[in-house]
Amino acid sequence: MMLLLNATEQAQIIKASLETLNLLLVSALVSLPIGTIIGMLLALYEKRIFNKHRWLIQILSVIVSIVRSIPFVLLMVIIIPFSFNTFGTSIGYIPSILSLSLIGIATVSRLVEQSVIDMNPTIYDLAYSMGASKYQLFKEFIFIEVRSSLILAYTSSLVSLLAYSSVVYIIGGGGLGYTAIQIGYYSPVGKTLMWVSTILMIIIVQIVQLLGNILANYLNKKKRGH
Amino acid sequence: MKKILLTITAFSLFVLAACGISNQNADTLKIGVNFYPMPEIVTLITDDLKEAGIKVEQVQMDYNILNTPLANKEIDGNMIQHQYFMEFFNTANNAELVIAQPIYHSKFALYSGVYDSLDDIPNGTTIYIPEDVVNLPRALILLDALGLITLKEGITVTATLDDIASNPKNLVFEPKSLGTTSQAYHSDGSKLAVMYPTYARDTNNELMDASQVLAYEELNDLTKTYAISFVTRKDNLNDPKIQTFIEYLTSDKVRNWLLENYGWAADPAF
Repeated sequence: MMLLLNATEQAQIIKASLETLNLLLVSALVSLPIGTIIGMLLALYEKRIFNKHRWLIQILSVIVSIVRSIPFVLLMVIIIPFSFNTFGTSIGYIPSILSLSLIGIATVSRLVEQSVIDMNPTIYDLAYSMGASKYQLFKEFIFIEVRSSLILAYTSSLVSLLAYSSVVYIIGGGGLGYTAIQIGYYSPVGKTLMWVSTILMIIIVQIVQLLGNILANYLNKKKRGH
Repeated sequence: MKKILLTITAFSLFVLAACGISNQNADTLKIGVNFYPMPEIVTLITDDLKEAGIKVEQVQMDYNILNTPLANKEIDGNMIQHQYFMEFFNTANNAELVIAQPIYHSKFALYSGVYDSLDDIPNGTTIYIPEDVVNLPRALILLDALGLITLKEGITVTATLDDIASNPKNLVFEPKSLGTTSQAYHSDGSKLAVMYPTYARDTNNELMDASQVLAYEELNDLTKTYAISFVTRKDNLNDPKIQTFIEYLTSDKVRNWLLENYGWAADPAF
């Protein structure tokens, strides 16, 4: 595939791939933990396992929905002044990571919430009948039951993040979206670059999805029987 | 597992921090570029400038927001816009951007796949024109120059459809965004449209050649103000680095490259 490109384009595509992986990795490292915590809170309150300060969680839920409903291109542009005032830069990596993490947190938390809510409800009765404390209920029942679908939720959010990361070139974040659209599609001589970038994105998605499926399968207690 | 996670987190934080510290060297010029052929032009003169002691760094992002970092003094110049786009930004953001050097005049043309001359155009033909506040007046100025319409006295770059004084052929105006004009034009039988060659695509979404061009916009004092230019801030316009950059930007090397690779869409402005 690299043979289709000349030396400059090869350098561009390698740089762009590294940028995309960097964006993906760092925004995932920020959004997966925070998103999981928020998603768990939303779900546990929904299931009435916790009840204190309900209004706080309702506000959180509204905020998550708001972030998810802002068109991503707009979200990136809205973040620019904030990024400039806080980090002293309005272009490139920092605002890209900020906007990707924000949308990542919102996406992950909704998916995690969904996984936990969709869990087999008999598990709560089982836990209560065995006299489990709230901590035990979470650690020994919910977590074990939900972990494989959590992995699938993470996989799905990673793929979304990859899709979102393909437009951060608008604020100078670079990546495969930049080579595919800006110097691929918009350039009269960029068709090869466009397709190579797209194929690379497909490959990344396939790898992420495959790894996610394998791990989820491995962690699925229903199949492993313990 | 925890150690691995910790290492990854520490590493990425390091990367984040490293990226946060901008390497603002005294001899580096940061130039904002976006669409073809600007990155190519800057790449073309990068090595020459390095020999002259100036390191050029390209900042590549969407042109709609490239003026913000320029006004914020994060970059030293950009090559994305003409005078009117810049003035619009200046007014809206109270910024002091200035044109440092016009680079090229985009060709702007009246297209038709059906009519061979302006006289063949029948009464009441639909014409597709750009809808935005800069390109709509430019299209009307072109039609005015071609004699298809006349604009009200003294109205030029601010013209709207209401400023058409006479329309002898009763042309029906159909404003579309730049990117969709060519598709609308083709679905209406390729009758009439005002487009840039860079946006004129055929039904297979490939760029069209000049065979359907009925008339090009004539270069004169008015249309030259639409030149895509190298823009800087008022406070760094006289910076020797910027002046050296302009010197290389307007060299014969760039001129010939433009004529050869982009001649179908633009005329060099130097």
